[in-house]
Amino acid sequence: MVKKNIQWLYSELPDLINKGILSAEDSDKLKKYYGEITSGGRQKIVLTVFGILGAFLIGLGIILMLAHNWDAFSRPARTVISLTPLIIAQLLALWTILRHSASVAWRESVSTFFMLAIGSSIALIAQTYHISDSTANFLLTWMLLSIPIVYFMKASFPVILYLIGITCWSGFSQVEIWHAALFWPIFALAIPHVFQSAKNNMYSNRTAILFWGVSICLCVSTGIVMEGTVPGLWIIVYSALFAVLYLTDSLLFGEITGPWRNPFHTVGASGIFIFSLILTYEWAWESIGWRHYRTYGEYNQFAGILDYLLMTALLVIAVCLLVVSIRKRNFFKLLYGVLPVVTVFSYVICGFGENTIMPIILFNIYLFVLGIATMTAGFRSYRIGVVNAGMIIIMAQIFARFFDSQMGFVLRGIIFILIGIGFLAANVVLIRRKPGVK
Amino acid sequence: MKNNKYIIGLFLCLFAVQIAVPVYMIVNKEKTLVLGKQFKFRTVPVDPYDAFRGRYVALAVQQDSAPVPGDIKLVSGQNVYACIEEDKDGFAKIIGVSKGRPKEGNYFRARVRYADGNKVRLDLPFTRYYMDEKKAPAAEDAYRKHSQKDKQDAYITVRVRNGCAVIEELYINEKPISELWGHNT
Repeated sequence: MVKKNIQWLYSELPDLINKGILSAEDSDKLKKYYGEITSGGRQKIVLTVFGILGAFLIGLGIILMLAHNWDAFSRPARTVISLTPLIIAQLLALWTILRHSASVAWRESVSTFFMLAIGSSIALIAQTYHISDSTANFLLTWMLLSIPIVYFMKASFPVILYLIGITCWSGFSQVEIWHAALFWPIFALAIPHVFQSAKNNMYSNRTAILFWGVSICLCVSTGIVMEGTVPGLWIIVYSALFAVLYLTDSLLFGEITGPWRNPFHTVGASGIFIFSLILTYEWAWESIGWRHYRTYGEYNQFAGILDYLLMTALLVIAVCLLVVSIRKRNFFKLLYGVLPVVTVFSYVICGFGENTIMPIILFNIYLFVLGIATMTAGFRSYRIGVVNAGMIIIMAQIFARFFDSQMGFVLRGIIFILIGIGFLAANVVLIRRKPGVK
Repeated sequence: MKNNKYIIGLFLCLFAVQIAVPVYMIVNKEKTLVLGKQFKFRTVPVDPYDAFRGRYVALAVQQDSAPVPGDIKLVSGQNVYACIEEDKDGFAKIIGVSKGRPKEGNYFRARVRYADGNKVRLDLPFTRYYMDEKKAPAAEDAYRKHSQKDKQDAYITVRVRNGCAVIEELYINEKPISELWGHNT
């Protein structure tokens, strides 16, 4: 349970006991069940963050200083200096495990420095011997040597650096060797740590940060890694990815949490909205499907097979999660999660029939329904944020269509004013309807 | 206590692997520099907008393509071995490529940029000469001036051994850059 909620519950207990709703024994049982709220949590976070930043800056500073004075050293001296940051980091890591294994701040900051030391050692050796090796190879070597640190030191910030590193690697790999097929196995190396953190405490800051890292990494890397031998397959893959992210939260989280603590929900819902908006444009549906299959030079056919596997896996997971939503009768979630079904249907129409108009109409209707349903859900649950989200969806769609069509400025201005009045009116109605508000 | 020993043991194994990679790089390059055969490669100017100013001199070699026998199919991004020998002027010439490690002769690893029928264009592993960021722009300027068609007297020496190629020195007007700008190699 979220710590904030436990604090609220504990604050309510004396009042409930006074009113005879709960007995003192029941109150003790509740406190025993949820445990004590540890104080000093904020201080620990500050120590950890400052520790990480300090280690990061020291590591970068050492690299810069060595780079500046590089010319003064002979080659043997440079070789020794190249290995020194790495050896120091290893000794520090060993000392941390032996003496400060319980300290999160020590583990996180030393492991951050350790990871930078590995990269700097390899880079300094490359400079010494004028190695013109590819950036992709450098990043891959650095990341693969660094990931064990996460498990030995039980540290999470290196996972974020790792996810950033492999995302960059995928971009360079596509440019240099025309594919990034290795991305999925190396991405999987970070997942056990994320899983372990979630298992320990689904509502902790650590888990939230890791989930954010994973969500953003997936959203960015998927497009880079996809080979694109079949044009437009990204439409199905991304729609399934966003649906999976969105629907996963109901499996993971038992209670309602804010957008920060539930990145899968936030990224998934935002992705579904933005992606659907993009698919209301004609350019997204042009020249897609197997009729335009790409076989020339830079398209790797083996990596293209991975695109199909990715699409299949994501669609299967999305459908399974949809079935769960149907069983739970969560029709609002179903509406968002049904995006892959709409996409596949549209893709088939467009891919085989070369009909771009039908998908555009379908997605305009879908987006409009999504906006109305979101507003309605917000009204029903008295959540102003959800109502406004629904109105943003509607407004974005109208805005997009306005730039598509030939409407005059005056008419557009009037409609924008009306929509703005609609937003304000909805907020006033909602506030007035909220229980306890006079 | 037993757990601690186990963890320390695993840590030491990890450290050994992490040290082994940079040490392997150092040993491999040092052996090539000490025991490898020296080749000279003529250089050509690099488009200044491509060069990363300040950290290294961006290099380009005059010959970066090679003939390909008809029965060999190459794809972009593929690793190959470029076979070299000296021409009559004493400069290196790429005479062919091989998918597998050749049994004899001098060769180094390169990557296929693109293959076009019976010719292949290669990405060579010596495109950067690292030096002090304050000296690199002037050195790069001099290198470019001395790599023009009418004044081509810039070249690099590369040591080649068992598929590994390491830049030894950059020469401008027959003088090593270490003498011109006091740079340590």
